[in-house]
Amino acid sequence: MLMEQLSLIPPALRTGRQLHFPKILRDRYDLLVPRQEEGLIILAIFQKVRAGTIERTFPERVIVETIKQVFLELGMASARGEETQKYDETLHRLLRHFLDKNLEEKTYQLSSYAENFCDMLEREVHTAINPSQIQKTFNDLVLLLGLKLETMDDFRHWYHTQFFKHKSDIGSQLRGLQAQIEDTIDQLNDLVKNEQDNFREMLIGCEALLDRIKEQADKLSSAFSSKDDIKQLLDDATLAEEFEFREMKREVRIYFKDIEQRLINVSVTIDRIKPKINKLYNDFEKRDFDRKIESFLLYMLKNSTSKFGRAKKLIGRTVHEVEVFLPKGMQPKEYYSDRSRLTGMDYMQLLEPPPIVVQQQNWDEEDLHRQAELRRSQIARDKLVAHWCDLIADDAQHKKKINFGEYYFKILQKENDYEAAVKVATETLREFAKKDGFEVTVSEDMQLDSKHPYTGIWKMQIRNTVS
Amino acid sequence: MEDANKKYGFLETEEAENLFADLDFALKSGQHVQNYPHQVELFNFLEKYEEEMRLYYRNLFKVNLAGKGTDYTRYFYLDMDDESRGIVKSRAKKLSPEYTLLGILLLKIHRIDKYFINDIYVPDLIQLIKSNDEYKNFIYNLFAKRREKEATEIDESTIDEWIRNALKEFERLGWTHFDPRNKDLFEIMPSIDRLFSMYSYEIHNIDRLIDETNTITEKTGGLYAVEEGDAQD
Repeated sequence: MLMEQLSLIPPALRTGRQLHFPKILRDRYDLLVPRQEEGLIILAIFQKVRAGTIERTFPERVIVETIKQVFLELGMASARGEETQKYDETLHRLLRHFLDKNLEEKTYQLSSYAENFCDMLEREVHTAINPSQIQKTFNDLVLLLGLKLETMDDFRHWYHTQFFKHKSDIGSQLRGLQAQIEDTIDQLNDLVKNEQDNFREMLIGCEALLDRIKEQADKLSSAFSSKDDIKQLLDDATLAEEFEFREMKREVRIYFKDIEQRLINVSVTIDRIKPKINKLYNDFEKRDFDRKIESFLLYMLKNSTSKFGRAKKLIGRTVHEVEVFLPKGMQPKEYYSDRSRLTGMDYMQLLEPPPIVVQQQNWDEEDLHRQAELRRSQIARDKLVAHWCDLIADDAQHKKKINFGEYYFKILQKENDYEAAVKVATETLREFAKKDGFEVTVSEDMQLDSKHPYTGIWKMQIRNTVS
Repeated sequence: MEDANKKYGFLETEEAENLFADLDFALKSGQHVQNYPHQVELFNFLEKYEEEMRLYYRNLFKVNLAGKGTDYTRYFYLDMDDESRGIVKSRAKKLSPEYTLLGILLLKIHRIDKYFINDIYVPDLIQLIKSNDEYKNFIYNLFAKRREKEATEIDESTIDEWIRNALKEFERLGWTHFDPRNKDLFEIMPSIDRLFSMYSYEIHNIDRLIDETNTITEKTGGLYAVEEGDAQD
């Protein structure tokens, strides 16, 4: 009866009325549900029995040692003198539901409730995902249901024994999957926060784990397909008129729907994590690649060498002529460039005359007259110089000796142009100094002229040595 | 003849009349063509007839028209593969060590350190390179044979010149693009990734390379055995 009351949702939950739990449950709750240290003591003994390190029945000493170990581990060590009392109190509490005592042999053993409790704990934490087992479970459920739909009693039995038992198995399988996903997410978060050395390997591990979970979820979904047979059997049942049947049928359907949704959630969660793993991969790869580029750059800069030539003068600056060599074993890379052939086309253009460029000349019109006058006077002077040079040359040809000073003062007197006189002197002396048959002598006697009292010239004579 | 026309049908198009000469010149000059405003017409034309052009360059010039990247980072260039390397050896040009060093430096500054988002002002880049504690000493050592503090005006100008010349070369290759209105402002193009591919083997194996170099240095005290014809200087 207790089983039935616990298994079914109390009607008060649906109606919102005040809850009425059995008195015995309220009174014994603290003893039925162990404290953390008590639960761990029971679990430790359970594991020791299963591992064969202690017998199925064991002396009190074993319990006390286990209590000590657990207390120590949890940091619950008592003050000296209080330990024995504390161990004694714990033992007495455990004796209410978790330990059975053999009074004759003075030995102890775990109660069935304790074994179920431990079994349940382990299944909750370490569920071995086993889709083929679920498949069998469903087959059994379908098979038995087919035989249990004749009477309400039969169906009730199927509901409270078979369905509830297997419901728990299926639920623990799903919780197992969800726990694995949560573990994987924790591992990934840990990986991101702590940047472990074996980041890549850990990431590969997480990804493989998720693939495995996904695969198991798919298998579970497939194993779960027998639910449709159960639904069909329930729909076809002749008990539909019974209110209790309809209620139970509703519970079964809600449960299947819930399982279906939880399986979908597993897949959705994995699909949501996958891109994050890919991003972590990319980030890792990028980080690794960036690090390698940095190392590569420093390697190249550190191990490259250079040779200096002469300094080069460029417009506005001077630079060293530097030739750089990459590190030993590192070759400059080649790229395709056929420019030499392409630039050959430039010569073709030379065969055609370049277009005439019309140059725009800018004249300073106001200054034109002055420039023209200047140019005219230059031409006139050139003519004047040429005239006197010709005259002197002619005289030098026909006379034995000429005195250049006389011509110099004549030029000054007639032309009143010092510059022309000096230019004639320069031209004439340069010409006759090199000319065969003539001799130029310059004495340090100053030749003067009364009409030009402030001007003097060394006495210079050109003698015709031929005539 | 008819077959040939079909094979290289793009040559008969109106687009080809306007664009192919420029595209062909760019590719054969070693330039990389990408999906950026200054090259968008060439890029679209190339992408439209990608397969035909690949055949064209493969059959007639023995080179591979390579396309890398996706969407806005896609770029094309002519490449010599193992098959064509021997045949068109004379048409290969080496990326000089000086330019290689600046290219890797640029990638580090831009891609890893993310110093510049879009446009890079050349004087800023020069300033950054000369003042970065991580590598400035190596750079002054290579281009000035001095430490930064002892550098003369000529040394500084040499480094400036190295950077500016390298950027000009990258512009020619299509790895950078200078703003036509401001010759000191440039943008790094997606195709600069080509430098990664060129040195991908060395980059991926850099840890081993460093270990090997350290081992040699330990064994020889820093002196390398010079093989025949292997001397650099």
